[in-house]
Order: sequence, then C-alpha cells, then structure tokens
Amino acid sequence: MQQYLPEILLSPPRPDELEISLFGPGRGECVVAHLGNNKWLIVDSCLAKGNSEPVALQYFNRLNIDPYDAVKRIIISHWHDDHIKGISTIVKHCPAAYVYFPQALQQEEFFTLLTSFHSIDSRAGSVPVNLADFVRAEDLTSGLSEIARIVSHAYQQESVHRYKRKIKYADDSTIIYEDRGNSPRVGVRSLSPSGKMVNNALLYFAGLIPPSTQRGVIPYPEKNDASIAIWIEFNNIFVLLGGDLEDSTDHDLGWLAVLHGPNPPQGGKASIFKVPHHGSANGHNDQVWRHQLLPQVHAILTPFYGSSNPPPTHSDLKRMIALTEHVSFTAPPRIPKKKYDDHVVRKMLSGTVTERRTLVGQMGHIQIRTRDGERFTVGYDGPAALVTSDFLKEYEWLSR
Amino acid sequence: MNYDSEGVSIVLVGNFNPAIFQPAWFILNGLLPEYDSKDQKIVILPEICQFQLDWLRIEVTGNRFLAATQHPENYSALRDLVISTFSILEHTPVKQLGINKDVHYNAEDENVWHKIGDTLAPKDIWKETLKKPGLTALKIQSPRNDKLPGNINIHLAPSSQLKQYGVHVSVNHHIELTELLENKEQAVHKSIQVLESHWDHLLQSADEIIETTLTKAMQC
Amino acid sequence: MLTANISDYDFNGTEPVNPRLLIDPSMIDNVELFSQGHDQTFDEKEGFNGRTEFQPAADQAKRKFVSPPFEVKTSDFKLLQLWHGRVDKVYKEEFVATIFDKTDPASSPEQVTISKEEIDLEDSELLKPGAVFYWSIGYSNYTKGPRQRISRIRLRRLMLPKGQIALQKREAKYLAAIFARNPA
Repeated sequence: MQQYLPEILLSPPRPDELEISLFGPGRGECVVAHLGNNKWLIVDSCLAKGNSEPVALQYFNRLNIDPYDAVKRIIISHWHDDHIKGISTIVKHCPAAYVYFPQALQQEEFFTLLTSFHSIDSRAGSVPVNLADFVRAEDLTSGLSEIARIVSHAYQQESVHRYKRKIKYADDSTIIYEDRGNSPRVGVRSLSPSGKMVNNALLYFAGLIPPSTQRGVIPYPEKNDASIAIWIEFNNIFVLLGGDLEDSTDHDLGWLAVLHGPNPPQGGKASIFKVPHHGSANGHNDQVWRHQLLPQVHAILTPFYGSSNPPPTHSDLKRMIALTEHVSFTAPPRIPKKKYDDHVVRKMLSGTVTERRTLVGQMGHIQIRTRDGERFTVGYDGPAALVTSDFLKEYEWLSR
Repeated sequence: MNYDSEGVSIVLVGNFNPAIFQPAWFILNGLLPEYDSKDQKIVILPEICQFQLDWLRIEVTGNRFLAATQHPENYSALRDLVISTFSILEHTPVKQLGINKDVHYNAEDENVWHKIGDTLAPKDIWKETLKKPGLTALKIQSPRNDKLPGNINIHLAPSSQLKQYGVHVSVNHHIELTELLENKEQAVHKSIQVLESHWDHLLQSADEIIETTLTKAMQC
Repeated sequence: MLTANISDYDFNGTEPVNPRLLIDPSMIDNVELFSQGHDQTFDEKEGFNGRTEFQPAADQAKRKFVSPPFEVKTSDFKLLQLWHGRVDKVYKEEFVATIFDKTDPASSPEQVTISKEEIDLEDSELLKPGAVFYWSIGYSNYTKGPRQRISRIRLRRLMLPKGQIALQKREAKYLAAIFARNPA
C-alpha cells in the first residue's frame, strides 16, 4: 500500500523505520538512508544550486538530527567532483563514520592521478602543512578536489594512523555495515566494483595523468568503472542502490558481474530500487528487474542534464512504467535554458554556441519510509514527482 | 560597485635575472601566445626589464618581479602566467609574495568625495593648527586573518587618473613565504601553491575591503 | 640624460610600483636596448641559462641604469560577461565544454557546443579534453570608440614545475602506503 505525499515528512523516522531519501538537481546525486535506531548511511553528495552546504547535511538540519554520531557510514561511489560535491564537508562533520571508497581508489595509480592535479604535500619537513586548505571559490576544480580534501584533512587530524582506520575500500563483496543482534536486523554490502572493473578504472586513471608539464583539469568522465552498487537488508525489506552500474555482455563487468559473481543479492527481492545511470538504457538489465526486484518496486532516479538527449528519455520512462507503476524522479528530465539579462551577451552567445543546456536545476528530493515493507509513505520535495501517464504524454510531445 | 578602472598585480621579492623576462622568452616557453605580443613596448637593461603588451605589464629588477594587468577578464591569465613562469624557473630564490588589487573610484560629487576623506581622516584635530588640512594619502596595515603569514596593507589617496572626485584604493596581500616552511628552497613552490589555492579568496577579500571601506566612508 | 638609481624606486615590500615615478622614455637618450636573445653580459659558455644568480660584468657594475616607464595602459574594454570553461570533448569541427558563470557564480554551469573556428590558430593545439579556457564578452574601445562587440576565448596556459612531478610521484607512493587497505 502506498501513500503519496506532496511534501516530505520533517519528523525523524522511527527507530524501526527504514528510510531511503534520494536527492538530485540534475548533476550529481545523494542517497541518505536510515538504518534504524538513528543510524544513518550517506552515499555520494550534491549541492543545491548556489549553495555550498551539502544537501545531506541540510536534510539532517531540517530533521533536527545531529549527524556527528548518527552517520555511521559514508560511501563514495564516484571519484569525479561533479557527483560528489560537498562529500569532504560531510566527512568532516561526521567523524564517527567509516568512509568507503571504491577499491580502485586504494591503488597507487589513483594517488598518482590525485597528486598530478593537487599539491597534497603531506610532509613539509616536520611542519604540518597548512596550505592544503582547498578553499577555492572557483568551481573549475580538478575532478578530484573533494577526494584531495578528504586526504589532506587526514593530516590535520591528531593522528593520521587513527584517522586512516576510518577509511575503507569496497569491492564486489564488502560488508559495509551489519547489525544482526538488534532490531531491526540490518546489513549493508557492496555488490561492485568487480576485479575487472577495478582494472578498467586503473587503466582509465593512468590515461588521465598529464603527459607533459602543461596542466589542465580532468574532463567529465565518460563512465564510472569505480561505481559501487549496494544491497541493503532491513529485517525482511530489501533495497538495491544501483549506483552507476551499466549493462554489459561481459560477465565480469556491470550487472552480469553482480548477478553471476561471488555474492549476488540474496535473501529476497528489493522493494526500493535506485535506478542506475539515470534510467538510461545502458544501465538497464532485464535479469535485475525480473529476479532482484519485486513486481511493484519503487523505482527512484535522478535526471542527468548533460547530454543532447538527457536521460531518462521518454522511452526510458516508458520502459520503466511498463515494469512498475511506482517510478519517481527527483526532477523532470528537461529544464529550460538559462536566460542572460544583457542583450549583447544573449546575441553573442547565440552567435557563438551551436548548442547550450543548463546542467544543474532545482534540487529535488524523494523520501520513502516503511516499517514493514508493505506500507510505504512516499514524499516529494522541490520538483520531485511521481511519473504519471499524463506526464509521459506531455514529455513525448516535448521530445519531438 | 562600479569602478572607473581596476587592476591586479602579482609581486615577488627575491633574486631575479631581469634580462630573461623578455616577451620572446614567454612566447618560446608557451606561456604567452604570439597574438599577445603585437603593440609591445620593451626596454631591457641588465638591471631592469620592462615590457607592456596589450593586457600585460611585466617589470623585473634584480630583487623584484612584477606582473600586472588592468583587464579584469585576464586576471586568471595573469595568475597562470606567474605560476607558469616560476614553474619553469623553479629554482628562483624568492622570499615574499604580494597579490594586489587597486581601483579608481569616481565619487562623482564633490561632497561625497570630501566625505570619504573626512570619514577616514577626521579634520577637527588638524584644523586647530592648520589652515585647510586635506587627506593626500592614507595607509593602514593589519595582520592577516587567515592561515598565511604576512599582513594586509591598504593605501587610499585621491586618484591621479580621474580628473576630479576620484579615489584610488589599493589592497596589498603581503605573504612571507619563508615563514611557511623550513626549507627556503621550497619558497617558489609555496608561492605557486598560494597562487593556486588562495587566488580567488584573496581577490574576493580585496574587493570586500575596498567596497566596505568606500561604502562606509560615504555613509557615515 | 635622466637617470635614476634603482633605490629610488618607491616600492614597499610586495606592493606595486607607483607609476607616477616612471619617466617618459622619449626624454632619455643613450639608452641601450638589448636585442631579444643572448647578450654579452651572460657567460658565453653557458649561454642563456635562465639562472637568477646573475653576476654583471665588471665594467657594467658602475653603470647607472635608466628606469624608463611606460604610460600604464588602462583597459578600455567593458566586460559584460565572463565564463571559465572546461573542454570535455573535441570533435572535428567543434568542441563540447562545461562553462561556469563567473559574472553570476550562483547560477548553474552549462554545457555548450562551440565551433573550433572560435579558437585562435595558435591556441588550437591546446584544445584537448581537460583544457581550461576563459571566455569574455564585452565592448572594446568603450570610452574612446569606435565601440566593438568582442567575444574572446583564451585557452589557459599553465605549467607544472618539473621538480614537482618527481615530488608528486613520491607523494603518491607515500599516500598509497598510508591509505592501503587495513588487514582483515
């Protein structure tokens, strides 16, 4: 049974209540999950337009929850800034949390990439570094500045070694969190990346290291081989967070690696599914929908504004609606172009660019709560909404 | 706030060979495109090298390097140029770094112009013994409120650039590089790091100081 | 001939020189201008080595230098809009970039497709994924005229110190060891 609300609930979830909140403004996304008894999990991070505070911390503020002790796990499933903006601030504000990076980020190739673009300079003789303070107003950072901040933050702590015990790495069979002794019984584990995905990621990192002394920044990555997909068990309720996982014919990559790998999702079928890759066709796997998800699963997704045919497209939404009635997005797939006030700027702009699209829209939030896996309360904030057949008709017309 | 003109400069104090810093050197090392070098004016002597391009002015003596521009659209390019120059000349001994912003503001009205001077330097005390005291220059220094060692220097005077009612305000973010590290040879790398990490913040701070000072001086 | 000793410069630590002290070069005679290239004050064997520990030749130590200034060139460009951009993809005729509005920093970044024709020939070799550029729109000759609308894309030229590369590789090894997976 579903209850749809036009707004989100601002009271904290009950101790025995599962919550999955998805945030997305069109670039980047963030999942905040309540694992029972005021224990929380955060996956990735994003910022509202013009705001420097991560949306997860803003949400805790609205719920009147102090994240200091409450957040137990932070999972960083992307390595590029555009998808984890503000994650270093979250790490700083949640000192009780273990931080999980994708396994590829443990390797020297990644640190070589990191130090190629950032002067970490962890040791300057015996003097602790105080210049590794990446307070840069400029948006145009390297695609690694959030990770660099987390690493440099380690050296501002009393003991690097004590700090580093909080940093963990996730691969296709990592138990991220477990509490089987109390009620609710909770387990969180990662389903990816596979070994081959890790190798692909390392090759990709190596290719990005600048060959010469001329410096650029990391361009927007084409794919995320470091993506972490997550399986959550909450009593008898299951959640699949699909990350950025893509479909592939290679059994060692993407969804096939998850389904045929050492630790496929077990115990039941998910009633909540964070759709990977913004609902695009290359993130879709029929076997996942048939075998890992309940027939009327709550499918939630964020849009991605950075392409000429931004996902989810009309056919993406149509495909998902055919599989479940409960498809929600954090923001509509298309937003209007940005308007410039000055007519000279408008004219010169239109004369110079052949295509232009806005990348970050209004922050949308889907909040799903349940205690028994039968009755769900779904709330929406900002432009987030349930996908209806009326919307599909209108979207089809707009897509022509 | 709108200014009649504004500019930014980067100064390094250390030990330099002025004769190196010719436009051709910058072009040869890929730091400036050739299209920047038309309309150049240049003087090179053993003790000093000066040149002016369309948007860039460079002036180097044995113990001082200055790069300046009055083109706001090229502030970042100026920073890039200095970082790149001392990335190539990475063994240059330097000890101090200055990031400076200066503006010429047109008060447009004689009363407002006098008000600025009177607020910042009240004349009552001076009128006891002087006939018609007027402010010709004001200098303020303050310790820094960030983690960088050094100080902030503000200079305010009537503008020589504007015909009348102009105010020239200059903010100098002065950084003692050698206090940042034990190994003085690393100072040029530290200057690069400061330019990379603190550039936007220091320019914003300068803007804030200038705007607040002028606004408050006109309001009080 | 007007001359000045270097100590006459009005500089105070790292503040810029007061331009009013600079003298019109047309008032100076007997100024020796070095050609762009090597000159006899460098050690002939080492050539132009870029070292800053310059030792002037003995006969030049007595020379007074002339400090000829230029009229400080103020900008007559009225800036209307500034973006910083990151090149994401480069195709045969055009490139795709993400641009960040520096005039209205709170607004959303945008993705744009721009013809390669907008890039100066000299900058075209710099046009690669990951390249950074500065794009300004405004009026040139704003006060003096004739006004002209200008759209200018300048590719960033930013170098890394060679010594830093070795340092960063060492740093990478150190960080990888520090942050290596904890034993089970």
